[in-house]
Amino acid sequence: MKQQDESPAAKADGRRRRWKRTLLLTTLFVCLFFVAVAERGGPAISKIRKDGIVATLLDPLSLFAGRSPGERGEGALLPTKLAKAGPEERVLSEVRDRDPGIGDPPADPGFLPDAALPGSRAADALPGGPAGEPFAPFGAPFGGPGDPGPSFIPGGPGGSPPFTPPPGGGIASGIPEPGTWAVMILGFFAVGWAMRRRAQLRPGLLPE
Amino acid sequence: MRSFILVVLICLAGIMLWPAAKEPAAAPEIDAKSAALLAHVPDNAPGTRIWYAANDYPRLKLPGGHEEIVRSALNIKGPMQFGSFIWDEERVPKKGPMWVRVDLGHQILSVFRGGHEIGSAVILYGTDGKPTPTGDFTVLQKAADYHSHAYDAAMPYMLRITNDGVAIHGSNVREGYATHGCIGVPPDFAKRLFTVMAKGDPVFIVPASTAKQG
Repeated sequence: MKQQDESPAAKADGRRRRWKRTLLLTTLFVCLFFVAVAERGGPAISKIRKDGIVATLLDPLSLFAGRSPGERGEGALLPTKLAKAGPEERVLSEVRDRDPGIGDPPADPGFLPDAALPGSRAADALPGGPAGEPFAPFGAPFGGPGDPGPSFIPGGPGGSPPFTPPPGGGIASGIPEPGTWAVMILGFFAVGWAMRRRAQLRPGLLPE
Repeated sequence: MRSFILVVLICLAGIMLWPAAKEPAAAPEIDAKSAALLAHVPDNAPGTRIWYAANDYPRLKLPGGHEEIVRSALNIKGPMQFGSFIWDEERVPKKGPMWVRVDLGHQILSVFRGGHEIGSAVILYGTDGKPTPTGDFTVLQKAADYHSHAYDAAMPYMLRITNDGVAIHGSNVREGYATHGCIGVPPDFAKRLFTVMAKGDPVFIVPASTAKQG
């Protein structure tokens, strides 16, 4: 059986070898052609270009263009001087002209816990507490509606900024979570396994 | 597979050889030819100034239908840096009509005296919100130690060219900066320009689009 198959296989092998040789030679010839054109055509091309350059070399406009740092970019440009100072805007987040007794209605009921409502003045100016527990101050200092405690607590050292994003809010992190990583790595393993399997199966797929 | 890689490598080598074989042939001869062209002009010092043949002075078209001849130009090789300038009035007549050409597109200013370019600098110009006007102007006012009321800023060696306050003055010329319509030049350059320019001398400001074409 092997001997029967040998001559067609040898033929195919020979064909393949010839094809490869032809391809190799063709590529070589193409490369040689390019090199030859470059060698022979190079000076001719350069002569035309040279004459053009020499003709424009003495043109003052081309001299100006040659020394130019280029056109100004499209990006943001900074003014060399600021406009004369006018009235300055100030951010006064902690100043309220409403009656402290009334309190603000919660902007987002899902964000502000109910416990914070009676003392909701403080909700805007979130007091600085230990980082990582933005809602802890709500429970402790504002026990109830009758709490005589101060309605405003100044930020302590290292206090959090007045605005704290809601926990679990719609801000998506740029870094994939561990689960995502795990699935991705699993996927790579799966692809690798499939490739290995195909490589192993290949001889079996050939007829006889 | 191995032969395939070989073929790809040969192809890559061919592609890389193609420009390599073409480029170096062109480069060295240009300078020799241009030097030969320039050699017939007497007293030509390569590298500092390009002298034009007396019977063949190039004419520069300028805004407002003006045209000026150029007898010689500074030979500056390569692009200039922001904040840098060239000033060279050696071997050119000490007197002659002065004019300035400001090329907004190329961000270049050139000072001419009697048709000889004596100075050139990289400029800053107005933003799109406050653009630098283009056209032909004349120096209306000179003030060596001017302080802007509108911007509360020093504008040393100010040469006012419009009645609404556009001027050429010393400025910190850096990349990425722009003015409020004035033309900013390096302070040392502004000082020299201030010295040579007089009231009534023309200043031509070429718009960016025309400069691109020209």
